[in-house]
Amino acid sequence: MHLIDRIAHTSRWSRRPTTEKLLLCLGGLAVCLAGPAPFSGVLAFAAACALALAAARLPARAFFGVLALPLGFLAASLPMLMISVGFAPGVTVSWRPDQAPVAAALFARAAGATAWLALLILTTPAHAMIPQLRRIGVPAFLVEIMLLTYRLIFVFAETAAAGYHAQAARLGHAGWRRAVHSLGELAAALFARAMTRARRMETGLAARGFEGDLPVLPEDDAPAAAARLALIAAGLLLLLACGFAAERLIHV
Amino acid sequence: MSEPILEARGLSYDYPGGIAALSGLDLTVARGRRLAILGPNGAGKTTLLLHLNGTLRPKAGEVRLDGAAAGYTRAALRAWRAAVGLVLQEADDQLFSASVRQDISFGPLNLGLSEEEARARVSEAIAAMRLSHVVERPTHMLSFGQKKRVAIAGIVAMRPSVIVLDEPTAGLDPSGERHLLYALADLHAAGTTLVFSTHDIDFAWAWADDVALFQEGKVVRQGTAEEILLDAALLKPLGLAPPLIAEVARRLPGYAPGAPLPRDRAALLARLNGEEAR
Repeated sequence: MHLIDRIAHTSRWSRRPTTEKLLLCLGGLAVCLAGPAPFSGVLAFAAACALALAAARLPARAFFGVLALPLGFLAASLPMLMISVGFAPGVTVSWRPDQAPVAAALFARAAGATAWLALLILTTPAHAMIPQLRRIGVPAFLVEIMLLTYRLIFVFAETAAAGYHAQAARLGHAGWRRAVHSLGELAAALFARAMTRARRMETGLAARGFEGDLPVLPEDDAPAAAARLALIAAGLLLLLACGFAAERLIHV
Repeated sequence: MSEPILEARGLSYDYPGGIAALSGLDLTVARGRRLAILGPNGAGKTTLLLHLNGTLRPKAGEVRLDGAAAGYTRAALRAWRAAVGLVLQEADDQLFSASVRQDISFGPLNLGLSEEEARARVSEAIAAMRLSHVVERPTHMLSFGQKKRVAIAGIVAMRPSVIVLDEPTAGLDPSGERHLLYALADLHAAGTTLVFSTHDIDFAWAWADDVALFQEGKVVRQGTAEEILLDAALLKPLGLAPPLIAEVARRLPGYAPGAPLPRDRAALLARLNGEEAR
């Protein structure tokens, strides 16, 4: 969480117009899902990696680190797709190597889609992305709650880390039983602290005229250039076309 | 003393459970001055400050704003908070947005200003609190002192005539404190009245024009910094002694009783150097 956030704020693309990044990354994701599998998935994955490393200059370790967890889960579940379970007559379990292309197609699509999402979250700070939700009609109070939650995650992560270290310093995490016990106590303490903190924050906000809403100025987002948006759309179409071309070439 | 901008008259307040926090407290805040409320930790200074912007309502007594008793209706509170800004001790309690600009814009937008005006106020507050080099960073990547200045900027952007600060220097390192005090000095020079609570007598001596001695729910004495902080007999029952810098300066050869004393380290050193040169 901290790592993702830090990179989102410091990457070369973090000050680029959010609209452009959204079009690019959600478009890339759409190509993964709409194009012929596994070709589009593989191409889209490669394109996302190339953009992340060469254009946005994201640190490779961090980018692949973010991908590793979801892709690891995905890879671990693939063998299940090649097992067939029948129920009539009686239960039969069989190994179906002929299902390999289906599994490969699924993996390629999911990997491509994950890579595009990783590119988006590693280049766009949350407080730039969340207000965009308002434009697509998400109610203002939900957007306000999301922004507040985003801020408070860091406040509580700090408190939780301090509490954890204080417990560990008194051997509260030596041994499994004690660790579970300590974590429970920490959670209870954090809950109480969250309540006092919420009350104090209400005082602080009331001093600035809080009456239930959290109005803020929209972020100074660089305006999206029509030419660049067109270029992104063209690139996405090209990517999609490449997927279809690859499918035809390889099947001929 | 100039006319009072904010006054508390006979203020009493009990904590839930009936423990008295304030008992018949009087306080006068003079326009354009810097008032330190000096007292030990846990004595109820924060409770007093929360009365000064109407967050807490006294059991008895009243707060007067510009000579008129302040009211507790929604509209009256709104006007009150536009005139008197409150900065909490813990900046994290005040910052609700991850973006510095968004957070500072909150108060001006609540005042009903247009986006354009709010934007101008935000830029003004960022410059006043010397934050322009950190505005692009999210609040959770700021230092403690920078967060504190962002919290104050959120109040400054509302252009209140009085800013009330709870222990403004608590937890700040020397450089954080210096930056904060420079920025507060600018605000004061521009005419803002400042009220701050502190337990640090040396800080009060360096920074306050007026001092209110706070003990057991009352202001036991209020006056100019010289009147209060140099009176050893008055301070003794509170476990306090006159500020070190003043004590040292008073013992320098050639000190004439009644002559102005240095307020901070730099002034004291200048006087010492002057003595040596002679």
